[in-house]
Amino acid sequence: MVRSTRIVAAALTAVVVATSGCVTGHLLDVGRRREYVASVREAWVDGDRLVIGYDARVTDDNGRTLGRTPRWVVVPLAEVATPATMQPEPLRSWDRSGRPVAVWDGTGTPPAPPLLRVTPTGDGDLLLAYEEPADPATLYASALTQVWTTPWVYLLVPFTLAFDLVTTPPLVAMAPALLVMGE
Amino acid sequence: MGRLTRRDPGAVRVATLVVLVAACAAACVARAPERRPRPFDFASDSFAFANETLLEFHVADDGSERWTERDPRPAFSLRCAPVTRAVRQFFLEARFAPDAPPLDDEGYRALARAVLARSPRDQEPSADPVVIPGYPNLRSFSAAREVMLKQEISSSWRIFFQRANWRLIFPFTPSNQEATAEELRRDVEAGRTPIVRVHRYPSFAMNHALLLYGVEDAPVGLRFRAYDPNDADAPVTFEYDRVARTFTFPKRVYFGGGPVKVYEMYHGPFY
Repeated sequence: MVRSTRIVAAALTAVVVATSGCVTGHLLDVGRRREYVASVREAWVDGDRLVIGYDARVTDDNGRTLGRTPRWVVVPLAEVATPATMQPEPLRSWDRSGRPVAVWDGTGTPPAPPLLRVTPTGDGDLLLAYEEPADPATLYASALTQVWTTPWVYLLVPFTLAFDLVTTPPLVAMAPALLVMGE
Repeated sequence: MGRLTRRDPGAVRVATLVVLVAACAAACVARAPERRPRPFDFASDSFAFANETLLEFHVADDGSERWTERDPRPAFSLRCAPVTRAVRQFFLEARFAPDAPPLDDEGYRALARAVLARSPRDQEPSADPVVIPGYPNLRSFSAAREVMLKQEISSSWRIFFQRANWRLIFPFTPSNQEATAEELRRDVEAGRTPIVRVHRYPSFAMNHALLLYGVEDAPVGLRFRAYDPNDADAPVTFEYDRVARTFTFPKRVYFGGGPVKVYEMYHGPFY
């Protein structure tokens, strides 16, 4: 009985050390995705909204590129100049209704307004300037970044939570030793 | 008092409570006002030497990344947290007196030991700093006394058990990072110099410590300026992206660049 208890305790300790802490937290980290604007394809003005079609670079939580995907986003024209408070609304698709806006990367002859000027900032970001005949409004493409979690992760959460219920208490029990010994 | 206790024990409890509250209030009032540190100056408040990395990061022409071990193995490595901690201790706990007569080796060793013996969790300048004569600042002191300071920084076995390590096992959610960024911004704007761990745990691609001393608004977030113990020549800047809700660290000789997790260490009893 004592021997089997020791074996269970040793196995539990090994599992605790091997799993590096809260498995549910690590699972959610693994499933987290970020989509950054990689390039702008097209843009439309629909009433008081600017609709931007772009290719997104999809990354995992550590920034590793997993692929590219086409995306659309709607930005109220009144908010284009205030990226900090802007509330871009992702769209699954766009039927290309409204008024087309030329997308210009700064090379060659500029098209007539309205146009969306796309300029690399040098910091890996893109500066988007929506130019009507007057008062160009600009926004950083990083303001359009989307963060989401892959759905399959949630299927595993009940299992990882159960696992954490067993493995986390020993970790917490070890913490005081670190607090006492630690610098 | 005895009569009071017999007649109205509740009154005694209230009186005791009032006395305690009054004592606490008096203690708070009597407490020295918060001492705001002078601004941290990288050129004079940092070490002239760096913590060296065991690994070096390489990007091949095809974009692939790999690590190589340094050969020969550096003698002063794996000390990023103790070096960062020591920089803040000298910043807050020491005062340099360039015009005072210099000491011998053992005298300076004793002073360095006295500085490093102070609490690494202090956040304000000491009212009773250790006076280090003969040098104008930490940069010149550490240039002249490099070997001794490296020995003193490495002398304790406890440096390998940083108290805040426990925090790594719990998740760092985007909302946690958002709160961390705002808290760090407030601290730095208040003149404090928080020490942070920058990591990708459970991956060990990044596990580093920095001292923050500057912050400014970036287009979509915040830009922090920090002392990097691995680089004695220049500070490093890294950003918090408010939309992606993540910190992003630039490419360095020891890191390929990209998102990282951040939390503060060397503050409070649990970190």
